[in-house]
Amino acid sequence: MKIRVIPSILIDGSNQVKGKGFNNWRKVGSPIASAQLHAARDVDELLIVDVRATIENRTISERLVKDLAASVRIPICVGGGIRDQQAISSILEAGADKVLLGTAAVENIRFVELVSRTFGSQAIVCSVDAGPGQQRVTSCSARVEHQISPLDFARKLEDCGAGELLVQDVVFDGKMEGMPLELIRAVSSQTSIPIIAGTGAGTPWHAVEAAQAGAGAISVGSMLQFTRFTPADIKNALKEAGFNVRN
Amino acid sequence: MTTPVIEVIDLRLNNTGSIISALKESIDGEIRVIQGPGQSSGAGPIVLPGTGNYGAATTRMDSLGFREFLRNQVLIRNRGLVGICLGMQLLGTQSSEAPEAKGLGILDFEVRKLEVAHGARVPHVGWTEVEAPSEEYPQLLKGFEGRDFYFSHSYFVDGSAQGTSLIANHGSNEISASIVDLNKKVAGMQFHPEKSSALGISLLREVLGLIK
Repeated sequence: MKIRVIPSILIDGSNQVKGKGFNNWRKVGSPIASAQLHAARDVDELLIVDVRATIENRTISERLVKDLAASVRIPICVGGGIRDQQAISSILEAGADKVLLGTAAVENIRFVELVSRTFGSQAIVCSVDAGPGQQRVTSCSARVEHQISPLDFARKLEDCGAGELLVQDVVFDGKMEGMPLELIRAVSSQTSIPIIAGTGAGTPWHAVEAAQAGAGAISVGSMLQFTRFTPADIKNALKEAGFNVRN
Repeated sequence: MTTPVIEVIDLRLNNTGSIISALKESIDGEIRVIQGPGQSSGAGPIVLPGTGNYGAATTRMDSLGFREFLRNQVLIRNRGLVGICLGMQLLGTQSSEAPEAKGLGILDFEVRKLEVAHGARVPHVGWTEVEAPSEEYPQLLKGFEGRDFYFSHSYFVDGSAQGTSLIANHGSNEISASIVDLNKKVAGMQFHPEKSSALGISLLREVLGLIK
């Protein structure tokens, strides 16, 4: 399998933002321009998340999803405040290939079962957001902590038909000091669905480490925003480490 | 010369936007979305896109009247048909995803679940290179071997299926990535040409040319 490089575009309403620890969002540009730039650099997919949608009790803008889907010819996964079947239906109809479920999944895992059956597992990506110490799952941009451990949650999501898992750690977010490797290793060894590693990638080597830990895809945010590294640098590093990447 | 009109079947299960914009880039001519057999002009190639659940799609084909329509247009009136992703799977007879459901039965294959083995995770999500099939089948899609296309599926048609023109390997699974039946003018693609960058557009153009 080829390791996918997936830039994440975080937005707040219609602005692209960047944060740290799932918080402290600041505006950094236009999501459409950013999506087109990434697509021109041959990235494998895009992840677009409205980071304040859940807290503000709204859903990511359908209009924006429509514009994004029309501006690139690669798969896009969309998240942000998606809590019911109707919302998934509208987002997929707007042109997203898959949706990212966070809060909705951890609050009611049966919801994942229902929607993976309705829309197909391939359309349902769930995030496993570990809190400090990786003992508990968090939601609502790490504002709420749940009793379940990230590993148990990951296993349950797989049982309920989730198609992919985005594995993240709030402590690693935005620091660019490396990805949560132990967590990625644990989740990937205990599940058989694709794992997308998230949070913490600051250099191409961090992506290599995540792939070595079992991730099939790497989600990158800050690195592409704030360093000179490009998606090609990440792919070259993966190739040199013996992984297959899309040519 | 008359320009072809391509009819895209909308089962109202998923977005047809990206497939329509990909088709617009692939051919000169009109693209028409049809939501029921009554809207068809009765001529030109048909595209059947689809993602999601096999059972839900067959139920929808029945309720919208597309099952008889498609069988009739393809098998009797010899119109070209291209099935994409789930649309390809629907061309066969049945799927283990919904054992009680019946496929279109236009091509003779069954669909089964991908096996988790040899490092393969399921669903099979991502870019995988396609290769030429075994020598017993004619290689109709030359020039695409070794190139990457975007796949996103848990069920598949086996690479040994009659008419397989490109295969893709995922762990121990040999997937029929594309299938072409020149007599019936029917083709299928398991990957998403509309999500596979510029290369997907070229392949779509090539396949539409084969079933013209």
